[in-house]
Amino acid sequence: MTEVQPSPNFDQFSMSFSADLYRYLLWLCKDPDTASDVAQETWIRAWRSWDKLRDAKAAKQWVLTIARREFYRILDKRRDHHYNLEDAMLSNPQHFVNEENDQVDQVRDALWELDDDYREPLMLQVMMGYSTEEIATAMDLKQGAVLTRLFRARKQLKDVLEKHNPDLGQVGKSELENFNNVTPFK
Amino acid sequence: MVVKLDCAAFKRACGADPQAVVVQEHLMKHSSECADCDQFYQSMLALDVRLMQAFTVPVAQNSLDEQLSHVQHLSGSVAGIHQDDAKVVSLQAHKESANKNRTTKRPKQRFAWFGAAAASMLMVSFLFTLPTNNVAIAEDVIKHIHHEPNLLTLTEPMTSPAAIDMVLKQMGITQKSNEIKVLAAKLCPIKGQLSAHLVIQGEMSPVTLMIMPGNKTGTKSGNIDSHAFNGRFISSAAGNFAVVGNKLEDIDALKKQVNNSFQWNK
Repeated sequence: MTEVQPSPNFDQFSMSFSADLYRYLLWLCKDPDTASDVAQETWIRAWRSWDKLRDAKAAKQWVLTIARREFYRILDKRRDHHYNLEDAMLSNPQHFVNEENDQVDQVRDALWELDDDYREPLMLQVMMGYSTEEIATAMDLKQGAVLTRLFRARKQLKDVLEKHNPDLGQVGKSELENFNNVTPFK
Repeated sequence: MVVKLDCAAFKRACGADPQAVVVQEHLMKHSSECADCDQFYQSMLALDVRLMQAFTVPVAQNSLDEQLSHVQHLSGSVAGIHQDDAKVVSLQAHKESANKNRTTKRPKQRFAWFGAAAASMLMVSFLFTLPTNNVAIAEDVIKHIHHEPNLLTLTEPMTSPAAIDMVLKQMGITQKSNEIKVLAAKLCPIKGQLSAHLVIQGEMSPVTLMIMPGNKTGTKSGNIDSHAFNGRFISSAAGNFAVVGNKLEDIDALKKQVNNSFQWNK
């Protein structure tokens, strides 16, 4: 079967997006080896279907969709062999020590304490710059559900950061009370 | 028509998306009228700055190269990736050196991320006219521009005048004249500090203007020169501007316009 040549823009796009995609996968996969595997597969699949991409502006979201599907496919495959994401992370502790900045470490620890379903939309919004509509499409959720998860994620992070380091949160008691008094989205 | 909003609804919206406050008129209005909600908004912005720092894990260039190498092999492309404005630092050297010196820092197993052992940073080459303190900030500015390449293709304003005013107000800046046409304005973290990312109309194409309030590290004015861009760093005690455009832009003329158009509030 003859491989279709990708459009000329593929190289440019992949070079500019590869770092962000890998970061996203690092957080999703919790393990750099798995993240690399998924990234590699993602780029191959994206390249093979590049000519089907109708709207160049949707390229990032399109590649991310491929990446998510690939992640879950690999995860399901590995689970058949009793693969556990948490164990994968613990088996490579030297990859997960950051000696640069304690405060950044504390925020990262707080992020890991979030449920996966809360962390991912926050990551898409803050790190990838997705709108709530785009997050809803990527995660196959209603927009209201995305807004609720984002709100709860920030609330939980504030609670955790305040508990471990009152100065780090830099949030007064009144702000926490405000958070607690607000009803999430339906 | 501006929709009236109560504090609970504001905090719900802001807690879900702090950036929405700049974009949605009714949220902007409420924030400007309610000190408590404005403080809440500030705390959400501060949290997002920390989140952005935490999410942005350093990634190894050779790892990215390897991920793309299989596609390049399939497509028959020339081997080797050159990422614009990047210089590769050896990962192996970092790993070996860090492993030698590693001691157990914390008794508890914590899910923290890559340190010197696992990371190599994308480096940006700069002219030696930039003092050391500026280089780290300028690196972040250039990385940020690459992160949002779509902003460099704007032909019409995408941010409303009211939203632009709000962003400038956050920075403690007043726009004195309309000499510069602002196409876009948003808040973003640069080196862990809340800054403003503006896109202004240049002679040839859109130009990036980063506004970074405060000057705690004593940065000084200088030139920014990378593979794709050229720019000027304008420093003062109140804060810094970085004006960065493509190589064909008359950056000095733009620098003059920026000085004429924007003023730090006292």
